[in-house]
Amino acid sequence: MKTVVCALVLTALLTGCDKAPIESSEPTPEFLAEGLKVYTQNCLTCHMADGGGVPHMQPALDGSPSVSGDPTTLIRMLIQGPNKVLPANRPHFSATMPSFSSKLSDEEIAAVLTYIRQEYGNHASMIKVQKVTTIHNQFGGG
Amino acid sequence: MKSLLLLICLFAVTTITRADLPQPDPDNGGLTLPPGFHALVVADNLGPLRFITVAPNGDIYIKKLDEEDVTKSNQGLVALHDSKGDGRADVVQTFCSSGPFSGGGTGCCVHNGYLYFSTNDAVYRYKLTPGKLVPTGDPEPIVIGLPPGQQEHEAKAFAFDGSGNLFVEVGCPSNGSGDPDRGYGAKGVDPTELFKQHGGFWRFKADVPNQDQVANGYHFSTGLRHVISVAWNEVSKSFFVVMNGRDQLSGVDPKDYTDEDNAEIPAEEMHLLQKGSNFGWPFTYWDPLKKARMISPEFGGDNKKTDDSHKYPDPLVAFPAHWAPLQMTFYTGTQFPEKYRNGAFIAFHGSWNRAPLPQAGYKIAYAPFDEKGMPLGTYETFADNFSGKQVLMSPRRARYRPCGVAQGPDGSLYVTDTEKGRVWRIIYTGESTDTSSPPSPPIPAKTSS
Repeated sequence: MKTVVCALVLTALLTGCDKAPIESSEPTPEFLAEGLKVYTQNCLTCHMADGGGVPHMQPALDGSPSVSGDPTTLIRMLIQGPNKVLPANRPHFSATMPSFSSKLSDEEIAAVLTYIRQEYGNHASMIKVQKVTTIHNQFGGG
Repeated sequence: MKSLLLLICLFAVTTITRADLPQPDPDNGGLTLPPGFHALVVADNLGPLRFITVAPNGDIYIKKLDEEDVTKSNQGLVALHDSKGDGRADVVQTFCSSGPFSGGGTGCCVHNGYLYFSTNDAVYRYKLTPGKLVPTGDPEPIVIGLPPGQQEHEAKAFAFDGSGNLFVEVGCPSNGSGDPDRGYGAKGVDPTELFKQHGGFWRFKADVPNQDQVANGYHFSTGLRHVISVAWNEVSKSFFVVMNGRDQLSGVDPKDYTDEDNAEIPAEEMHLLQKGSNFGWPFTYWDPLKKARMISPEFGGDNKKTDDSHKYPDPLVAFPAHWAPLQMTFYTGTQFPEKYRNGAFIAFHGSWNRAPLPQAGYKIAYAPFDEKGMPLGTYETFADNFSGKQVLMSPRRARYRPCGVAQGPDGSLYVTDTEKGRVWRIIYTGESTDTSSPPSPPIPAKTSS
């Protein structure tokens, strides 16, 4: 019993208590291509083709803990806008990202988030459409 | 031996010989300049730098700002002194970098023996003491109660007129007053409430402490998004401003605007700043291609509807979209050729909102003014190659980005950089080297009236 408790505590410490379970499925090339298309049409102008962002204005996506971290927080950032999701004392960038809730479908949000989590040197897990829909239903739009 | 002789000959040809000016760098510090102009690096790697001002004794003061550094450890002011007379700063002292006077800001100006500077919610000043580079004690608050804590456009630029007044700009924390701002399908929000403390200039006395924006400030102008370029023209006794135009037309309204439209629209507008001026934001913008004032998509615009209200002035100069005008200064020196007298040098930080087209700006532009102190309506590139790239797609790849531009007591022009913290001094000797660029032809930016 002790061992089980220790294992649970260790797992919680390693993964972070509020983290969602890691999703292990691999995206299809079509799903990633859809993500690139959504990125090009909606994200590229601010975050740039190389994911480098704009110093002082829009954050870079390469190496970003927000991008590669907790999927729930990342999904909420797109659905609600980062100002409603991230702590106020986070690093300051002067342009504000709007909510994309009314513009992008759950499928498009899942595709573009999976794309940025696996591009620009990032190696995070896929985000499934079902997960986006669940969070969308829970938190609503922006 | 032959190579050595060649090198000596080359050095003799390219050495600048004006005794009263410092020796420029062989590569002009990486800049390209018109023939006869040269540059040297005064200081380097100081961290992100904003506005610059040069005291009558040649000492330099610069506002530092790292907007990403919420600990404010890389803010405050930096003072530069050249004790050897070689044009290079060998004394570099940072001060006012912590505590209540260090939070953000942009403005920095030596005026009547004081060093004025702004944070995000106030304007302070230090008394400068002859023989002492860095002032001591706490700065004196001159303007207080400016709205802080806004995520965007929080920098507070300021300038002095010739009658003892201080004019401070408060930008709008918004792109187009839309809901959701910057978002797809954004609907216009009435800015009346916002304009009570934002989107305009407020006038204060330059030497009265603790003036509150609402209680003591005179609301001088309105209808602007964000202006950082503001300077007083001594000939026309007038303020001129260049406004940072809006972003993301195609993001808000992809039905009516392509990304290519957004890359070229709207203009960065130069205006005469007068009592009661209203520049038409957020309801309108200036299309530099159609040469017309257009209705913003948040307020019913569709890339075709022009604003026929005649309530807002046409720009005096229409600079290209998204170039991001920052510090501006009128040239009153005599070191540069006559054509530069009383014209405006403007530091353009450079664009980010031009994808899929390459980024643009990243230069010091020169806008000539006439003998009455009014702009001719044209501009030309003065200092270039800050980005270090022929084609720049991502702002992060820019080597340098200009921000501050100010004139020194001998008529040299000083420029700061926000990326690495380089400071250049641009001088005119009349002699050319291979590193100078040919003059760029004036660009006819005169708008229709």
